[in-house]
Amino acid sequence: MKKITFLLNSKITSLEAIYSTCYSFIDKFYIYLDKNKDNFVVALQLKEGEKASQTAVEGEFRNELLNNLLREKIAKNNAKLREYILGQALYSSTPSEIEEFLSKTGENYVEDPLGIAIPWEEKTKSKSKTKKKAKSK
Amino acid sequence: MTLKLNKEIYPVKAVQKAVSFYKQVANFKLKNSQNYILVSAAIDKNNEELVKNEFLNFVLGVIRQ
Repeated sequence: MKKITFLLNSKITSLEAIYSTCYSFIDKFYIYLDKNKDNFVVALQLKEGEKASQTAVEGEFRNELLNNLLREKIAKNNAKLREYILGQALYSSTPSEIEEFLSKTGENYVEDPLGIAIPWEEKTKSKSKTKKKAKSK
Repeated sequence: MTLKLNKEIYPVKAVQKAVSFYKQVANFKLKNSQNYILVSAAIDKNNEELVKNEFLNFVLGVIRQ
């Protein structure tokens, strides 16, 4: 298969998006990149044993490039949100003030001396049983 | 084999890393020109095209990492 060479406007496309696109084509094609004044030059050559339509290749490459450009844009727009979520995740993994206080006093909330963790139904059941027993006596 | 790699596209570090991986294949030499990195290696003609193409793909893979 002959080399397919085409140009990509460097004002519209980013190099990162081109790298990502090339990476997804690397298994089927040999890729060479260059740059002239305003354009990136992409040269694709099909590897031996691989099959692809010469006309479709350029179109597929451009579609994948658009896909990567969109991903890049979304990643930029969501950058602050991702940072916030990561910050929250890291913050929650550090010991809280309550845990620090408990470690100082030597108390442990797992022991539950006041029975706070016991469900309301269980508490009321045990009380009603004792009342019934008292009435029957 | 001689390759001209545009510095704006192929970072020097990635090319150097690829060369270090290809040490066993051939003895590569790098030269700096104004806008390009010139990669040269002595490879027999039967394999020249294959090595050249695989090397180019390898550099792109290194960049992506």
